Amino acid sequence: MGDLVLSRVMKKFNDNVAVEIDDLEIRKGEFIVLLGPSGCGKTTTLRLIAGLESPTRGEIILDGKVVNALSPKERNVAMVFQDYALYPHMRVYDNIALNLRVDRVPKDEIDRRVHEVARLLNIEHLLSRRPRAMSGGQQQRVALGRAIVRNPRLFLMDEPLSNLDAKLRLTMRSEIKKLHTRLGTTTIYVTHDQEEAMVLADRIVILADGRVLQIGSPEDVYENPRNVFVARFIGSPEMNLADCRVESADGDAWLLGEGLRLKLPADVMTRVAGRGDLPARVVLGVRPRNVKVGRELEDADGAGEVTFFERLGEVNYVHVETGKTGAGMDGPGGASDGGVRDTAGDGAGAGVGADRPGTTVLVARWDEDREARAGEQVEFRLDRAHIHLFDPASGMSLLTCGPRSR
Amino acid sequence: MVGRVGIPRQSASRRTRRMRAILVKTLVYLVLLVGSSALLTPFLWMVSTSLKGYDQVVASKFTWIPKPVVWSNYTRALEFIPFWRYLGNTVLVTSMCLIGALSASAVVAYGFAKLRAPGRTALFGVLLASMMLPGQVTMIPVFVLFQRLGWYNNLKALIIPAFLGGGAFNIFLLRQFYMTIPNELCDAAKIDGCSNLGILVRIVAPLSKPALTAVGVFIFVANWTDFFSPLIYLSDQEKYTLALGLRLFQSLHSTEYSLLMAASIVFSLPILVVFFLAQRYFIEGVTLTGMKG
Ligand SMILES: Nc1ncnc2c1ncn2[C@@H]1O[C@H](COP(=O)(O)OP(=O)(O)O)[C@@H](O)[C@H]1O
Ligand SMILES: [Mg+2]
Repeated sequence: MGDLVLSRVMKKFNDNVAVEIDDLEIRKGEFIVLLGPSGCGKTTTLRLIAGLESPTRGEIILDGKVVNALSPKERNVAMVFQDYALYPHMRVYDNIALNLRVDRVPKDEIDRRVHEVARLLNIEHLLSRRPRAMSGGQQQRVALGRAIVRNPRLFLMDEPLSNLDAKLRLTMRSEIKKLHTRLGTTTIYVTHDQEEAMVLADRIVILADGRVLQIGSPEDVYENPRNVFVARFIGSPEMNLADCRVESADGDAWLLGEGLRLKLPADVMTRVAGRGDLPARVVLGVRPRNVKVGRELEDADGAGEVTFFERLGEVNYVHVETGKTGAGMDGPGGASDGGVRDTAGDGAGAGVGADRPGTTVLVARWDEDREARAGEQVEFRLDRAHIHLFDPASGMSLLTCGPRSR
Repeated sequence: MVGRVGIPRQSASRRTRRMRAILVKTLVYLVLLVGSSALLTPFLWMVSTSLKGYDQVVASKFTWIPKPVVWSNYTRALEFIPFWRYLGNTVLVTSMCLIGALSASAVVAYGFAKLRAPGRTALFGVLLASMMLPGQVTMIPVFVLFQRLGWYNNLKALIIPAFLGGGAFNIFLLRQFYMTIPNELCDAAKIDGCSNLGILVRIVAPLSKPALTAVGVFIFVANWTDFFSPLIYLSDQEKYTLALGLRLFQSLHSTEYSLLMAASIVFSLPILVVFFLAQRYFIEGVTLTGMKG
């Protein structure tokens, strides 16, 4: 039994469904991240759990008890708000102490606990300041302190780092993680930043349009996205997606896309869900790190022209426009492997993320020391162990489990 | 050459612009001066009359400066009517009304601003509409009601209504101010375990000090100077408030103008004091909210 369960929970705002979660179980001590684009219902979910909003239907179960009718205080949850929501007329000390005062905790114990928390968060010197007289990072710590001081059963955090500058965000991110390790309080953390989710989460819950798309460990959602949405949302740069036709020849399945042509290995075929048969068209997905690019490769899956070199310092990427081939390279479906008919080039194969009709941009990691030049002709090869296949109509993954679980 | 011609022309236009600014300013000050002296004249007349002897008051030629200055008007005025008793009644009524109307309107406004309930908007509309209703329309039914309740000739009739809502305008004013306080603060307080009353007392009210001060001043002045309600509800002279008691200087045959004016000045002093104190607070409140923004 989970520490927190959302069972068939639905929340409507004047006939608009904001959140619909059939089943979400959160275990004691877990760090759960709710991840999704803005407007997908993350805050609403958090407010439902906190008790600031009551569900239109469904049950919220804490420790095996339905808490729908309980106030936030009775649920004993603490929440950190996106813009901190510190009380502007109170000193930091009183901001942190308020919930203890409401609980009629004796004065000297309040004093002890406030100082303890302040020490933990390095804000002891700020206790007599007012919120306005502090930086964003300091306010953030006070907001955390206010939540920690009461030893809540559940920690809810709504995009707590989104108002901080990039550098401070990294510092606070690791501090929040450390804090969780130290306190072990079940935490539900909301963000739209996939990197934050990957770093912090024990499990990520990916939401879109108020619904859960996938729940899993960061590794799991990265390696085995259940649909195109998750595949694109997780990982940076985004996963490459290309529309492909499926053709079979001599019992082998071939994928044909713009400037791209590859034989699916047998082990991928065994992972095809359901009938073990691929539909006539699929969306092929592969992450930039799993694409090898070079001037001349053995067993190239295709070729294209470099349009952009992206230097990030640590890792560099090239954007390759496929289907735009120079001399000396076989065109798509160039019948070197007999039996596969050349049907590419009909213009219908424009992939997701296509720059213009007839071409597909493929982002790949650039491992060579030199810079790639725009206009340069390159070949590429996809790592067979890390390709994904999606149904073009539903967007759902066609493979049962990821390469990791092979 | 061109430059030489250009420069004086430019400064000439600047000069006319400055002239015009001075002219406008002078006009504005002139209007303000005339307006404020028009408003001040009755007050000065009141001060002047309060220091005149009877013969100077009725003299055919009006003078601003009393000669001799009759200070004793003040001591006589406070003895002519049971001034201290009336002051006591007035202080009692006004302070009770201040407590009642301020807390009631603060609470009701909180409901309108921060609590979600079906029909809230419609109800607020009704409240606003009730501001359009002249008091005279409800005067007789309310009078009959209070009389049946046994509040006639009793200070209750002046005090208890203040606790019942606190006045549509005050509610409106506070509600508008409360609306500017972020709901997230109230949510945070709820998470911290505050009840709605707790949120009002600990968060919303402290953040609304300027508005609460303004409403408090309105309530104070309205009740301190209220003539009408004491007039219709009170019959025994010893229950009178000051506003009503001042009328005793006027009798069928003569009016003790200088005593009436002396008593009126004493009557007005608390209002002046409250305005001065509150004004300081308004400014403080405004700068505080400015920092907040
Ligand atoms: N109080 C509200 N009244 C009406 N609609 C709301 C309210 N709160 C949220 N919504 C709607 O519900 C959806 C989800 O919002 P929210 O939970 O804030 O998304 P997120 O936090 O993921 O950005 C949005 O479409 C939003 O417009
Ligand atoms: Mg949000």
